[in-house]
Amino acid sequence: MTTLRPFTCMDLLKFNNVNLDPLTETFGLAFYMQYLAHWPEHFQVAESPSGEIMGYIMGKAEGLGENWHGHVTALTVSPDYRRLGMAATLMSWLEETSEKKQAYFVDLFVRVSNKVAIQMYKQLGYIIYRTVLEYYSGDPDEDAYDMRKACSRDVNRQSVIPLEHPVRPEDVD
Amino acid sequence: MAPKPKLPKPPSAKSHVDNSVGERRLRQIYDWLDSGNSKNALQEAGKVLKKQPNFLCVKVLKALALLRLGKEDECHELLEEVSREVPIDDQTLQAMQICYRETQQPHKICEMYDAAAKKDPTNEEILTNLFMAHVRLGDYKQQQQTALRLYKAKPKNPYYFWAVMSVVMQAYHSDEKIARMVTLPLAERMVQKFIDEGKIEAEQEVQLYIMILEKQGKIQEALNVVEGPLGDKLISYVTVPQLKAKYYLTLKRWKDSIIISKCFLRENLDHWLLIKNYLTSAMSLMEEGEDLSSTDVEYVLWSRPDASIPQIKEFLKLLMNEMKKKGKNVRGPYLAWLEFYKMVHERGQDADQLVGDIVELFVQYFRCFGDRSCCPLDLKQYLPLVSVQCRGDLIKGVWQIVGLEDGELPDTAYRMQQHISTILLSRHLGYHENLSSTEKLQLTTCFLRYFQHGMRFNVDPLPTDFLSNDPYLLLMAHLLLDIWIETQESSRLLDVLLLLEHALLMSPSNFHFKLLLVKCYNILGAGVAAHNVYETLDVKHMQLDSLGYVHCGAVQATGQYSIASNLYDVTLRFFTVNYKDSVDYLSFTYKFGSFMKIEEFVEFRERLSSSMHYALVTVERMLIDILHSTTHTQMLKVVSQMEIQSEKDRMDWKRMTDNRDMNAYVSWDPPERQVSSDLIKETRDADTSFLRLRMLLLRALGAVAELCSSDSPVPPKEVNESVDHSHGNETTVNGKTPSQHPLSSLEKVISELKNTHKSVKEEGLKYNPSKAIGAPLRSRLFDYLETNSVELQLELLSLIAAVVRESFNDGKGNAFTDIGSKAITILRGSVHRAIKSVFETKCASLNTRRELFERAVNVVEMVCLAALVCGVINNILEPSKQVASKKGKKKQKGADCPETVEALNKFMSEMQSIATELHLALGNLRPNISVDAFHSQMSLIATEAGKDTPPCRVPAVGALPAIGPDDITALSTDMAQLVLSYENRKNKDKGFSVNVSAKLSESYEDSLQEIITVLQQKMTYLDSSKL
Repeated sequence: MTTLRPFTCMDLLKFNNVNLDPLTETFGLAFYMQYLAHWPEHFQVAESPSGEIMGYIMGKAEGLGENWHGHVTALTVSPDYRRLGMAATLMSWLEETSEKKQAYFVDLFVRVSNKVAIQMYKQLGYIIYRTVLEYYSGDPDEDAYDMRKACSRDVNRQSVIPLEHPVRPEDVD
Repeated sequence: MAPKPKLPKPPSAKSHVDNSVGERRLRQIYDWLDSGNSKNALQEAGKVLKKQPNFLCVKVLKALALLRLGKEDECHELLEEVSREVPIDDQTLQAMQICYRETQQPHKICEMYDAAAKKDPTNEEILTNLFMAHVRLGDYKQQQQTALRLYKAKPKNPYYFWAVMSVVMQAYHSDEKIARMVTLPLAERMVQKFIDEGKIEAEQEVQLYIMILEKQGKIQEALNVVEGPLGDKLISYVTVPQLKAKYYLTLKRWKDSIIISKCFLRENLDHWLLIKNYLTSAMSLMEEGEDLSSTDVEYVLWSRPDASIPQIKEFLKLLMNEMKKKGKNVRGPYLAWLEFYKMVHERGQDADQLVGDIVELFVQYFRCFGDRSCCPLDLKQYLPLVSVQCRGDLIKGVWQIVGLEDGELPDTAYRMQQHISTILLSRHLGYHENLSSTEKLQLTTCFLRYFQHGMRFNVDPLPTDFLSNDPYLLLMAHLLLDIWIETQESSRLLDVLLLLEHALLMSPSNFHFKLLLVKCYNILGAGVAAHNVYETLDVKHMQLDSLGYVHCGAVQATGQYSIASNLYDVTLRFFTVNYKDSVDYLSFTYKFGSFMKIEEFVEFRERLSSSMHYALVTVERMLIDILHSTTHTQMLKVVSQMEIQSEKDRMDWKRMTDNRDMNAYVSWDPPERQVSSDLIKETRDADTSFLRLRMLLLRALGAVAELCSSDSPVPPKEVNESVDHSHGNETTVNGKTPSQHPLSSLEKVISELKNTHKSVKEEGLKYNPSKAIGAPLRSRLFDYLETNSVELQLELLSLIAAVVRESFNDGKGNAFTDIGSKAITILRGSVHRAIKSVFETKCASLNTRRELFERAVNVVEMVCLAALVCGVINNILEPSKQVASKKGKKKQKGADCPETVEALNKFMSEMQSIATELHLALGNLRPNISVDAFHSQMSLIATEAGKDTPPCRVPAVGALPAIGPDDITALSTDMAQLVLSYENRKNKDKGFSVNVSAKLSESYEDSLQEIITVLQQKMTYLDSSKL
């Protein structure tokens, strides 16, 4: 694992080399601050030896009962620091944090067209749990895969039994 | 855009029997309000209130509806009425809170909850809301008291720690000494008490305690906490090992630091922070003279506190071996050697002797990571360690790994990446610096071939990914820019544009191309073209602040007023919306106990609100609106909506923050050509000076407009006296500060402007064109000073003041002959200079197009101001104005005085003639503005070069080949078209895929049109202002 440190507000002013990437969404300030205020430990940045931002992960913990889980909201790696296993490092941080919080599983949404990402998540042990129809708005709307990986607390791996039928975004909690 | 906050719905389960009807109707009102139908909400509320006149919540919702219908006064009245009843039910309080927020009266929220809490002192909800209300205002003392009241009412841990945190925040904003002596110890004692009583429950509480100890420098105490039972709670945010490592280092407990670093490195070989911790500690231990004998027993190595160079080397080797054993390659252990070398070198020791051959260390890293794009980024910081004599060896060393012959094209993607890394390193080492322009062109051609060849390694490229061979193109652009800097041949800039536009067609997501295009178009003064590319960057939210500098000022300088205004509006919306929103998240941090984030949030909010860019954009946006208004009445209206504080400078110049991201532009140039801290300071200073001058102009205009709408144009007491500027102290009447009379404000601002202008000129800021690719564009300050804009402002503003005073004496005076004629001389001089030394000469080269437009923008703005001032003077002297102000004791005589009217008319005629002259000159630019005349004189493919002279050798490329026509035909598809379009440009071939010349020409024509339009409007303005 490379050096990860908590993401801070000041990073928002210098993350351009990561965020100008077209697949990395730049959210409103409020969105980042909500995560920083609520789940600061789920928001980590990987810094290079020369002090540049290599990538970051933004996530949260939510859900009731057996649905208590870690969620990956954004994961991004600068074009300059690809092919170094950075995404895996960041993901494993979030998985560890979710373990500590005694989550049952970790999940994330990904565009069905984003083959590279899907392949990577599969390699990290994630399965396609279900399809969410027209989750991403655009022209045309695009479906999302809801991908999951069970945590150790889910001994029987109940959380990763794939659903057979796709769901609508409003049915996703 | 941020949606309006959803109104909290009334809880349906709580409905009382007799109130259920009311609840239902309440819900209905909420629905109307939510859907933006305030009218229906108002009606509905009216109906309910008829039956239940004391339904407080409905009253408040009615007030809210009134507010949203623009009836603010009625809203306040109704709210007052409700607040006198001191409501304590959550529903009503929440609704009132919304009203107060929308009217931006956060202190009222405090008052309201405070009153409610007095009535119902143990209500947890009310007290919580009161606490949060104080958080929004940043009143830490009140926060502390409220939190303690809350804890007393409901003894829950979080409340107690809210109080502790509020104490910590008092320290943040107080004097450092007081913080250390009083405030922080108090916070510490508060937590200590809880520890003693065994009441600590949550991780956040321990985090807060550690934070308090750290702030006081009590590192040993913090370490004790971390190592003690409380440390068990630290599991998520900053964990124990991390903290321990940090503390050991601070406490200089080198042995412990080494051992803990080693221990965690064993599990995580790539943890850079721990590697650095380890090296720092071991080097320090060594300096303290400890040494232990060498060993090769592994378990000893993992736990030994290393204290000598051989021991450190042993450990670094162990890391490498461990990595190989685990079968994975990470950068940390390789870079550790370079870092180690650096530390030894910095201590003045012979690192080559002690650590190893520097070239070998580089090569070792390159062997594993030479094919990754991170390679040059990682190595960059260590390149200065390589002595000039060794640079050749370094390049040779890595070149051997690449294994290509001179001029041989890479056969695999892997090799191509290594080749790219080598080139980037060699450029960073300065190998491209000494090439002649011809050689640079040859090199550019070479890279084109490498690029073209490299296309084959992009199998099914995704439009969202960079192409793997993109760096060649970026380097070509950088080389061409180098040539342009040297030769000032604008055709080289055209080459860059053409190249990058084509590059984008192939690799549409490469933002490095886009950023550079924006810069080059702006250098050439092509605001529209730059803007079209800028838009594809999709700069938004935070980026508006951190990246706005690459474009905003430049686009306005080219006369693209509407584009600039739009950019400014979007930027301002970000700042205002987010400043409001972010305060909510501040209260969330308390709610979730994220104490570690609170200071950070507060600091960040301050950083945003005092952003230089924010201030610049605000002022410029307002100035455009005022100076571009088409009639005097419109100008007054515009100003009246702005709330300009003409009396006082509310800017805290020292605390202005520079939020520009100066690392946005990637550059492989040698260190002396990188953006330096001096450059950052220089450009910031220039912008600050510009901002100060512009701010004063804005304030002056505010005072001028006030003067127009003022009943008595002269301060009552000092009708016949001149104002003494020296005493800025405000006198108080009945304990209140009377607001200054607009004339006094104006005169005060004039003298401030005079002084500021003087000091800016004395500072003698000079524009030094920087060779750094990431250097910001020239500040607008320089041309602003050059045009004598401020000199004119001072005369024009003084003229207004003088005319006002004269009109109150006997109407006779020399204002126009004295001051007015000076103003005319300045304006005429500026316009003539613009025409003679800029318009008529600078059109000839594309390089000076930006200067041309900037000058045009500045002189037109001067005319705008002159016209505006004419309108103002007219207004002051206007007879109708007299009638309106007849209630005033003194009668104005100005308009009665034919000399004054005549002088004004003469003044205006002079202005008009200058404006006409300028208009004509701008019109004359039209035929010369096209760029057709600037086609490249030299083709990119240097077919003839290198024939007579011995071929030049460049690292990682070898001898620069002379390229013949055959090579060109060998190139295929896009690049061939690109090359051919270069070749045929002189023949005006229509085969451009991207017609850069047309983009430039259109942009120029558009800018000129915009500038002329503004000028024409002002000429009409002048016409209509005549008395």
